[in-house]
Amino acid sequence: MFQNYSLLPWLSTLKNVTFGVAARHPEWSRAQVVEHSTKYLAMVGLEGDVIHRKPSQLSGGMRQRVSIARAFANHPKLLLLDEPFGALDALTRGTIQDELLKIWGGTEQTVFMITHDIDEAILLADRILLMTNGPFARVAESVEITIPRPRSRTEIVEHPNYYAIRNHLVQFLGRRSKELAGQQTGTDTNRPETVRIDRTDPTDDPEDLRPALRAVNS
Amino acid sequence: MQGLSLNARAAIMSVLLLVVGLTIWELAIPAQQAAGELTEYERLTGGGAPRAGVPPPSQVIAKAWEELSNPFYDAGPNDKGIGIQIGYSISRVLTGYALAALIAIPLGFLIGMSPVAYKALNPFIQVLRPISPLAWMPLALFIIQDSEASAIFVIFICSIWPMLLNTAFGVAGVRKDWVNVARTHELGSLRTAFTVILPAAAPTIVTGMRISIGIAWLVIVAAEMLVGGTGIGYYVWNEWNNLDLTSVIFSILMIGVVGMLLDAMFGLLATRVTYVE
Repeated sequence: MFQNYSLLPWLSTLKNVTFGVAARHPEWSRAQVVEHSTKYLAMVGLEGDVIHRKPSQLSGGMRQRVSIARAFANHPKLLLLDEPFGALDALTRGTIQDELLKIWGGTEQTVFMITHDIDEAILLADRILLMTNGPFARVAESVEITIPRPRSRTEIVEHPNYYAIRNHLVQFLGRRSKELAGQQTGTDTNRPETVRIDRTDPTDDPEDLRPALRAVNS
Repeated sequence: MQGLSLNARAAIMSVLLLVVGLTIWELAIPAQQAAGELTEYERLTGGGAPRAGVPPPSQVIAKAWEELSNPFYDAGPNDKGIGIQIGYSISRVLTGYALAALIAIPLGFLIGMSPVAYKALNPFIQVLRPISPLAWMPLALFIIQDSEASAIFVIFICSIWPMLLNTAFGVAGVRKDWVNVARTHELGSLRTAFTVILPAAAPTIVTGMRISIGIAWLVIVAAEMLVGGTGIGYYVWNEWNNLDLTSVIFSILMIGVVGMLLDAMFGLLATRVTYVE
């Protein structure tokens, strides 16, 4: 799934989805393909008349939903989303993030998403991989998001871990990604450090200056 | 006037222009001299055949009415209805055109897919393209030894270039995003060609086809004047030899009407394959 939707403009919304589904399941009947595709379009809130419109007749947000439906309807082993919401305004982005969480909740698909929006990453992810600056950019840290699901954008900011994680990420992006840049290897195996920040964990020592950081598996 | 729609106003203006144009034409032609003033010589030659001159529109309209009310009569090789003549021309055009499309579109597809092929074939295309199709005629007549097939060959050679170039150009210009969509959905190359590249390039390809059919219709008239026998081009030339300018003007108009209809057909096809990004 790409930043600029990449829908085929000469096909209707529904056909944009069936196109991929039919390619993936050549043994399915036409009706099966259509039913499967309509189901996924409904999951992102596109139902009824809208699915017969051409992409040019849809708003940016709706196009990206079609793109999401098309990606999920195909059941890939790993879904790679490359900054999918970059081109959307903040409000639309919020709704579509919710749609993405909903459809993901229904399929439990492995999703690998690239983003530079920290709040988006915390809201959506189980794990955030942080990259250093170039040259020799590498994945330096793997931060676990210790906020239970289901998450909602208004509730997670109340969670004690939210700002701890967020601050850690901001610090990394602001300072350490530069400090680490240019180092060819972090450790021998080049494995990213796993970071787990959990303010609700009673074993954490509250007196520690950096209590939230606990390197595991380093 | 203001209350009418744009189309209605334009239609009124078209009719007005037509009437004014025809009136000027009609008035510009001097009336035939009355039969009473025949000279001795003219009486001897049987009342005098009217001198050849550009006919007024009233005569052309009368001729058109006469021809169009019975377009398919066949009274020997030199006297066939206008419908039959046009039919011959259209069948030649469509045969040559279809052969050209059959070669130009797949070949253009391959050229468009491969930048190397595009660069390698480009010099040949650029040299062959500007050659007047009629320049091929002697060579075609010598090699094919058949005037009918030569006319078709001339149509073939003139309609192949716009289709070839536009197909190659359209295919080469397909957005990489769309090809990537096909790749992420693991479509085979043949399927990608038919379900992604062909519809993406279709508007450009149809534009090429539209240009080609226009050129083919231009060329068939000239080719038939050379080849003779049948067809609207032959008809024009034959009527010129008969000094029947009324028929010449009438057939010129018919060539225009048929050309317009052919173009409209492809215009319709173009609206079907166009998409908004």
